[in-house]
Amino acid sequence: MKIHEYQGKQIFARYGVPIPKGYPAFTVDEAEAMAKKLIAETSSPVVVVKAQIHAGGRGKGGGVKVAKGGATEARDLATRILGMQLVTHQTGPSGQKVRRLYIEQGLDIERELYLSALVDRDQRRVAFMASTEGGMDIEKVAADTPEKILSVHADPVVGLSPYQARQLAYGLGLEKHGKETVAQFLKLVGSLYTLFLKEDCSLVEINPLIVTKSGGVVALDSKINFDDNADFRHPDWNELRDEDEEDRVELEAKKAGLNYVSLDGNVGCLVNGAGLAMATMDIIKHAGEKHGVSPANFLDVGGGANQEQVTKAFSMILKSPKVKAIFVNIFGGIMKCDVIANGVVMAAKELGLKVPVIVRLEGTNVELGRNILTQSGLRIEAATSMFDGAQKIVAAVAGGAR
Amino acid sequence: MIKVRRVLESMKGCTRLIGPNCPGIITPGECKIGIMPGHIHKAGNIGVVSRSGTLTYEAVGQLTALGVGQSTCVGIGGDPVAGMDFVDVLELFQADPDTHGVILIGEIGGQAEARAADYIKAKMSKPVAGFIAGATAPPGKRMGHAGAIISGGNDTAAAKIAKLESCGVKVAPTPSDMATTLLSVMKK
Repeated sequence: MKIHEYQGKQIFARYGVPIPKGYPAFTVDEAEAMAKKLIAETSSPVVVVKAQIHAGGRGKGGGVKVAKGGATEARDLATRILGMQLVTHQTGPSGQKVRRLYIEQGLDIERELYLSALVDRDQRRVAFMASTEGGMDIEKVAADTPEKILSVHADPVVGLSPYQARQLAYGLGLEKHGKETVAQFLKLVGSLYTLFLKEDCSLVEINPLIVTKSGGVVALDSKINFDDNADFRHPDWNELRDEDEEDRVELEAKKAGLNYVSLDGNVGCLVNGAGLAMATMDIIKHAGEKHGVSPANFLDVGGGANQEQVTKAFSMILKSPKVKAIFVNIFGGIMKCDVIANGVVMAAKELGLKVPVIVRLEGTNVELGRNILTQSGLRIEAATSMFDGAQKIVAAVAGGAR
Repeated sequence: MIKVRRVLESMKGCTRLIGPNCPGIITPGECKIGIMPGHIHKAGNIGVVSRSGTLTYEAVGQLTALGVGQSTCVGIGGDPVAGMDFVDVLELFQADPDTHGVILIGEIGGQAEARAADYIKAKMSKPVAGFIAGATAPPGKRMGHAGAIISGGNDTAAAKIAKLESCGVKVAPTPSDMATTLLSVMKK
């Protein structure tokens, strides 16, 4: 789960990670009022107006502007940014609508650095990465100049050792800004590790982390991703979730306890198990690419889904206007084939079947499931294997093209 | 899980962890610890190791349909940090006289398949066939499994297939060909 920069900074503040002063704003009036408040508090006329969307590259896309002329200029910038379709390298070509702003104090920047903490799956540790190339696209730095990225791995039992934090500090050349700067950085890294564990993060990124002219270390940006598997112990995440930033259908699926990802093809897929669901997409594309047949979605109903969830899942696919055929591919383990069959029949009877449905059932309670489908009187075609199903799907969508 | 894994490493050999989020382990006709449909299995000489539960069933179903039994099938789960990984299981298959060939099923995300490929090339004498799910998955999206996300350059399905093939693993063109692909390698 992703959150906004300003929400991340509120969390930073709770853990003692230094941030500039700033306030969120949801309207142009609010933006002006917050700018006034900031200017009074900091006795500096410089404020930054920052678009809040769940994507990086906001500055380059025109979503971050500096106002040096006081609250009126900040208002003008807010008018321009709020409501714009912000396009960055992470939003896709259609961009993301800006609905929230963050009004922040301007700071005198001496240096821009990069710092992040993330789960390194291959080392099975939380890794800290730092770079002198702050403010840049870090993927590009990693690809072009990998020697400019420093990394240390925290031992999960002993935690992040002080010497590891010092390795990063001296690797970034912070000693030339003075002892106080080094000390602030070490404290910040320690706080970040505590935050990472306590808040169940999968990524915490500060880009840029700045050294100010006066030698202070401040997080000028924040990006936090939470590990969704931990959401049961974080009721507070509900308040941080911004549903406007999420795909409508994916959100609906998530609320029903389903794993769903929208794709741009024309075959709806209902599958149990993430691996089989991906493989189903693969085989549809393999069999149908030449005929313009490809998957419209990834959908894993999981092992523990009940009949209502299956009905919901099938209804979601049936309602999608781009779906020209539906492939139900089930290999039951803990998921029972009769539960799937009942769910499919229920949804089909409620909404009607307007497109061909190909069903392949195997595994637990397969006979029960097949009987339910046969006796339903619905026009459902059975497939004997995944490949057979994929071929039937291609035939159904592409018609005589095969 | 990071802590659990760390503790397991420090007591290597005493305790093995399979998963989390996996179907478990079965030696057909002898022992099943897990949630897989037992009736699709048949005792025999093929080892199956997989990050995906239902794709394990798929491979087993294909083998049994061809009259080929399995020695042991292990689901290692799709989490980014888990207990046993491919190499741990492959070591056991290599050492097991009752396992004559192996099907390895991976997916997008991480370097576990690449490490498995290196191990197979260096240490394994038994034939291995593979399949990698997620060739059509869009980058940056988490596909159900926590670990199934393409985040860097060389964790795509294409990169993994190329790596496995370069290490002598024959990769099935579609998930329906896992068993036939292994048998084609074993006949040689």
